Amino acid sequence: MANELVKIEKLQVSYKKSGSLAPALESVDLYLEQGQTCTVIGPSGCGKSTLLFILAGLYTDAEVEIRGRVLSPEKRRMALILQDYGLLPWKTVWDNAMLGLKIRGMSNKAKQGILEKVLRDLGIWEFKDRFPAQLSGGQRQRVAIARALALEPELLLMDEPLSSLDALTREALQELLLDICQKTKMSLILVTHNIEEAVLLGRQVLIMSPGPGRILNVLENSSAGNIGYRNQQAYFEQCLKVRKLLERGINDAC
Amino acid sequence: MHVNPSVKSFINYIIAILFLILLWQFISLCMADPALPGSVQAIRAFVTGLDNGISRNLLFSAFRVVISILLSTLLAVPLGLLLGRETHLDRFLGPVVYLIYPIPKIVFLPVVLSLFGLGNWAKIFLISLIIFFQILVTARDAARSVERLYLYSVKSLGASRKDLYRHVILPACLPEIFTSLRTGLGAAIAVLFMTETFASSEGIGFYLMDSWSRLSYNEMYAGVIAMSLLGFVLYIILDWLEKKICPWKFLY
Repeated sequence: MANELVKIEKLQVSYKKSGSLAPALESVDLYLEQGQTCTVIGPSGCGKSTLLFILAGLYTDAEVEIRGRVLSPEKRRMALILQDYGLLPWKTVWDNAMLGLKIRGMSNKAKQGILEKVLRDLGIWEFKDRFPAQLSGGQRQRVAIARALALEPELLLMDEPLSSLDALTREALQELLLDICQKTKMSLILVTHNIEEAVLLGRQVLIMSPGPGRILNVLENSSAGNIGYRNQQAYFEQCLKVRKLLERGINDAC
Repeated sequence: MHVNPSVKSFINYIIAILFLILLWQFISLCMADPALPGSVQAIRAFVTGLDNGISRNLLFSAFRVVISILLSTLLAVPLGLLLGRETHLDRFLGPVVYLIYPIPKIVFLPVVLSLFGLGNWAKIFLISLIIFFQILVTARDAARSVERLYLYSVKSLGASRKDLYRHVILPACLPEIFTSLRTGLGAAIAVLFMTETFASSEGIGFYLMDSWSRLSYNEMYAGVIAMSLLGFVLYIILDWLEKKICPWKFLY
């Protein structure tokens, strides 16, 4: 299809550990169209983060063995946001947010103007001279989002970006993400262990099980994408469905 | 009354200095031995000695120790970071470092004097050699333990290997490098003293031993004060540099 952005077929990943191979993912398929959102949910150790890091092209041949087909955008069209270690503690908010542009040699006046606007839109412009340790968890993730947006990516990859935040901050940032995806037509793959978050944000919910990681189910969730969904009956039903699938997956694995 | 914290700590230092001077004077009075003159005489000898050899000798000593610290830092930090991150390099050089590190390098003093002569360079070489390994091992271990996720997160922005060293590995290791510089400074001054007492004609070490051989105890203690001041001033400079270079460590 013309507007396919990510295509993974029969992906098999093993970590290379002192001579032997530890399987992490087995026969994983994933298909994502441009402008779509996908969430990945599963218990710890099911390979969610591995899948994301493979997509981002972060592992070297010395670290993993990859079999199967992985088609994802070029590195410069993707941005990755991590849970806790995204921002560098030794850089100010401004320098952290600027880092992507600087590394790509695009830190000119025009881009600085764009970044300033992004920081203002996200409500963190006034903190630009502070260090990450001087911000709240929610403010820190806003900076990470700003850094990603400044690169104008096609695909945003997020690894449990909101897990360490309190409930209200988490909801505010979920709204922010939905809003950004709608406005920019950016695609999103978000890894989470939170059922509500997975159902709220992903028009496609991938349910994974551990040992080695594989995809149990792909739940079509086409009503996702706006914040009102949180209060609809369909949303609660989908959450329930995901919970049941997850529980079954864990029981089978144990 | 509200007092600025830096003024407060300054006042505390003054009190500490006065206390040490008084303690020294007290012990000297109790012992009544010419080998331990009182702090007042020693300070007087230091002040009059400034025009009479101390300044010149202090400059020599300061030059030697500062050059040594700069030289060893410039060599040990990049090499240490590389050893910590590049496994193939560490596989080859790691055992070499492991074997050399525990050797007390001061035993090479005669060898170094024979090879480099009695001038500045023999002293600089030996001091550098000793603190080089301290900084190298610290930098290597710090680089090894850099949080992997910082590297992934910056890598995902498209960073090259050079970018990773510049934006992640070096800054992550800087605080530990400063700690090693601080302990290295103590070692550097001790070694400086050793080297200056052998066949030297300049430096505070020489001044001190020369005063001793002339049984001029007041001047000898003036030398002790000069050596201590050198260490103290360099220590303050290191602290100041760390606050400038690593502001994120001093947020509260």
